[in-house]
Amino acid sequence: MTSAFKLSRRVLLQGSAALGATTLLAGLPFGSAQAKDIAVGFIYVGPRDDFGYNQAHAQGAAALKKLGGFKVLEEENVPETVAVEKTMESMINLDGAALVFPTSFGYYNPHMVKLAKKYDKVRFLHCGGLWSDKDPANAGSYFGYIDEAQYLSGIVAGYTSKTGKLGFIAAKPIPQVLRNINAFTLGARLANPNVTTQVIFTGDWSMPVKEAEATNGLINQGVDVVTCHVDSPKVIAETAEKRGIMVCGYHVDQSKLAPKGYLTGAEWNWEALYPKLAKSAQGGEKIPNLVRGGLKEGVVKTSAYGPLVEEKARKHADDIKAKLTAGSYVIFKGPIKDNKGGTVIAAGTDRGQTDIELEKMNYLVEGVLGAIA
Amino acid sequence: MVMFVPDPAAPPATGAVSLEALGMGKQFGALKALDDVTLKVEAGSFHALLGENGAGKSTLVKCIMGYYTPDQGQVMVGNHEQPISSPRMAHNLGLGMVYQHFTLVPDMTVAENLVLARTDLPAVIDWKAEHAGLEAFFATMPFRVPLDRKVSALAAGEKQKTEILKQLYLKRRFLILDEPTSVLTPAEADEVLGLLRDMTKAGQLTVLTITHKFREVFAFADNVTVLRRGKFAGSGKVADLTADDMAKMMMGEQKLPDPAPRTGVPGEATRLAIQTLNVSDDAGNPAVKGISLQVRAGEILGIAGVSGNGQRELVEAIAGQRDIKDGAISLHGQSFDGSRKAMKQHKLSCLPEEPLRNACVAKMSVAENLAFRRFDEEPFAAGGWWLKPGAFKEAARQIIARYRVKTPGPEAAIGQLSGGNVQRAVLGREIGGEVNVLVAANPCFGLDFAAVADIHGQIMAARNRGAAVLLVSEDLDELFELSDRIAVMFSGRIVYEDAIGNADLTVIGRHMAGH
Amino acid sequence: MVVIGGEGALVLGGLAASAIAMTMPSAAPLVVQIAMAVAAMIAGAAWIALAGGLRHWRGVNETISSLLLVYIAIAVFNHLVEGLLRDPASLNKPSTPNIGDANMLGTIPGTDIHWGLAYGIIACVLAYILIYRTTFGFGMRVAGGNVKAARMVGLPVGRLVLVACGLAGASAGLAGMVEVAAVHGKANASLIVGYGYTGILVAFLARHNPLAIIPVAIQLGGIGASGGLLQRRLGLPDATVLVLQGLIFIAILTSEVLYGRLPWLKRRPA
Repeated sequence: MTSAFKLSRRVLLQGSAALGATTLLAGLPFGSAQAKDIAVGFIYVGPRDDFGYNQAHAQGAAALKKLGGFKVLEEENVPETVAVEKTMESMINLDGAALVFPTSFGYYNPHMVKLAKKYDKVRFLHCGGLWSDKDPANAGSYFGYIDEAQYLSGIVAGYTSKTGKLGFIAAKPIPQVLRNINAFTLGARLANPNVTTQVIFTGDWSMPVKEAEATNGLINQGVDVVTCHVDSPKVIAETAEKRGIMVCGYHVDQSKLAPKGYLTGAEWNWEALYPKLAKSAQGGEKIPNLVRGGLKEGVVKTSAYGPLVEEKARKHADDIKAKLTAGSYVIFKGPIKDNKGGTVIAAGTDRGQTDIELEKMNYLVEGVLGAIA
Repeated sequence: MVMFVPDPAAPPATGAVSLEALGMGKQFGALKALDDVTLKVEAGSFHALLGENGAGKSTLVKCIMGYYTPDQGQVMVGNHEQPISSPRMAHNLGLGMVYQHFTLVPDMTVAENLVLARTDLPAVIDWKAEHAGLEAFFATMPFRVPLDRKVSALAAGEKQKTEILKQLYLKRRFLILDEPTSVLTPAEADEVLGLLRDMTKAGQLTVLTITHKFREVFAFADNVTVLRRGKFAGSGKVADLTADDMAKMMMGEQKLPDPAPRTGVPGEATRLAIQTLNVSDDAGNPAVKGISLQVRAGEILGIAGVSGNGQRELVEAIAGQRDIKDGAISLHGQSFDGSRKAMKQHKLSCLPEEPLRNACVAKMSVAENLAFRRFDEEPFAAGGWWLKPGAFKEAARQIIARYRVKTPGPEAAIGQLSGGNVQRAVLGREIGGEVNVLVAANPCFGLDFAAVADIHGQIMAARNRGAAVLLVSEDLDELFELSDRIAVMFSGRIVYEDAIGNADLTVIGRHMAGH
Repeated sequence: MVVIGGEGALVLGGLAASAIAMTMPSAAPLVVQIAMAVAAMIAGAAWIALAGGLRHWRGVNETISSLLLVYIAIAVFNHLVEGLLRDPASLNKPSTPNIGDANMLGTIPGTDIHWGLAYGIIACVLAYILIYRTTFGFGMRVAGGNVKAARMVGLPVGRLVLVACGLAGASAGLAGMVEVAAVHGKANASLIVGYGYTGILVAFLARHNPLAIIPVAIQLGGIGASGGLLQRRLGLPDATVLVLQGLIFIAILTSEVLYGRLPWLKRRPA
């Protein structure tokens, strides 16, 4: 290590990141030349290798680790109870965490809000919550407009489906999920106006057996493309591949699980966001309390197209993607009818991504087969 | 199909075979279960093996079937001596056994049960061929059961027929039946036994059946062998014997104990009265069928009978452990509902068989078990609800000392005690205080001589103090020693009742066999 | 008798507590808290008494039925939380309305431990007194230990079974109320995290002695809490905690089987 002292800081950081030994540096006497590594805690509600929600966050944490200059703390399988408070306190008190990412929705209120009040020097950034002025200033929330990526998945699915029947396996009929179902269906009907999406709610975020049953049930009904909004799309992708139908991914890239039938997928891009947020915290900059973004801001992305996606579909999807990235396209553009025939967005009304009405979505659009509750 | 190398001296491979067990002896600890017993069963005969509980019938057939190794004696099958050291060897010789309880797998079909019973089962079963084989086999049988029916859907008689067919399918030529009709209705029993008798008459099969029922012996058996207390007690052609002859063989000219000394004569007041009582067993079948009886103060009514004739259900009904179907039990003329209040009011006590299983909580302490009858009254409970552990221990120490219960202390779990000590502890709890009505069931089962004398003395003392005692026992000695009156229970009914002075052993034996 | 359906009573207790709090927005906090506790205990008691009733009248094994009732309880819970009792403002995580900060139980002064710990300790002590020091508890032990013996001495077995189940369910229901009133402030899916199942492990390790439950519960809680540090400091997976719990479980099971059977462990005669 003696030679390390002769190297510039930049080279050192790269080298140590390659060695994966950043944490060792925290204890070495670099003096003022080396800013002290800041400890960043990540808390996951499930296993970090779930091919889904938690893995997406863990990939973000891994990107931060690779960057260097941060001591990354991780804890998985932390339930949304007082246990998460204990975890956060332990990260702060024992490991000196200065920035905490509790990544599950249920961590926000009361748990994270409570601790943000107690530890006002620590930054808390929560995924999925909706920060408001009443919440502490050192707390914040971030989320992505992943429905943009779902919309693109829908376009690809609409072109590629032969039966015109798509399937969507969803956990619960809550606004976030409904928005994804609706975006996916609107995208698909852009490609083929006769397409329908059969939706099945499993009732909870992680129900592998029910998810597999639902997939099989959909396939038996003639569905030939499935996608989902559950914590781990693993069994769905695997079941679809085994039964020889196509699948659009969610949360992370699942193409490894379905090399033949994987079309594309709606992915989080936490690898881009987390280093950005952590670096602002390290630099002492003010972090916005409410971070929202889609393709344009690089918070979400899409998987690479699979072998079954035809040129026509790629071209259409790429075209829309370019418009979304430029911020010049609106998905929820009136008139939109719900699947009971009522108008939910009037003609002439554009509901852009930041429209707060979309966060209260409580309908399924025309073309979706299924009902809420 | 059975895989063994035929011995040139072995009996012919088909048709009925004879069997002789000569000079069989078997000792379990201090108990001589079998003492120089000889049994000869001719080929193609229907032979009945008679005897009281504990006469050695089961031990004898288990020795023949290779489950036990006899200490003395030998077994001849088809006139050749055969060393049978395992059930498998017995099976290879063509010996088979049908048990009192079913051994079929209820969730499998008859065909599956039969095929899977074979020892030479291939790794992959060709069910089509097996079905054809079974059909061919059934064609040679005088009776059949539906092959594709699940066993659980068969009636009891059909199940027993399947058990027998299984033995025949396995090419057994000598069948031992252990009380085969105890789970059947009389009509079913007659049908099954009749079919077997026809097969013996046709020379296809030899049958040895263990039974308690004279009716079946007279109707179906050619010959009979009687055991008594592990010894050979007689044998002969059924045609030459009367029921009394057989009862005499079973009971013997045994010297019965004289009635134990007692004071006072039974009072006039009826303490325990049972009126046309019906009680079901665990499976819901009638076990006690319309029994009526009365026990007066200062009287012991003994109930004799072969076990399994409804005695257990009768005792449990009176003890409050089993719901009654209809009829009535009354104590001191008042209807008894099994409640704690009524038990205390009428001072009802019980000495059930297997007291650890029937009257104790094994993991609770001796002191607590001893207080079951009185834990909710002074001095155990202040104000009727607050327990005082000191009182439990004190009361327990007295009973432990008085009844010589060997225990590490009142705090020890009663499950750790030996059987005799549990029995004495329960005795102390149940008749240590005032008793008006006492129900006892085989109270001395499995105890040594001294303990038996002790318990008999206590029961007699309770009677002398004026308790009405109902004593159900399989031990005739015990009944003759203690009872003022004796009754016999058979098949859920009281079939005989008389004062002990008039009782005749032969008559009692005949009634125990249902004749 | 072994009832393992505490999870069902816990979630329904929590739901009943938050439901009753909804109906009394302007009552004094103490009144609301008492009403919540009572509602939770009634709900829990009724739920487990259902298993007791099935056992008594229909002969259904209470261990199995109470376990299966958990699934029904969770389904009922989800149905109501996502429907009738849902706070319309709980968008992405359906919940009942907040019971209000004033009605929360708060923490024991000087610590950051909420009052649930005190509730738990009091419940354990009361259960011990009830079971080992009262005639009612004595009757429960006899009826639970051997139905035949209990009937022989005239104890009302059916009533004892039902009441015992009811009390057990009430305790679990109270735990649900504490979860709501001390932690979440509302009932939602976060209540369904398996505390009822952890309770089975605790009860077993404590050899069914209510007083032993206190140290055992604290120890298991400690092992659970250590999971975070094990993950962060030693890089061990979260399942390590389960392995540790399993080791304790196996040790207890083994000692039960081997008790008094290993010659070198026997006490030598003095």
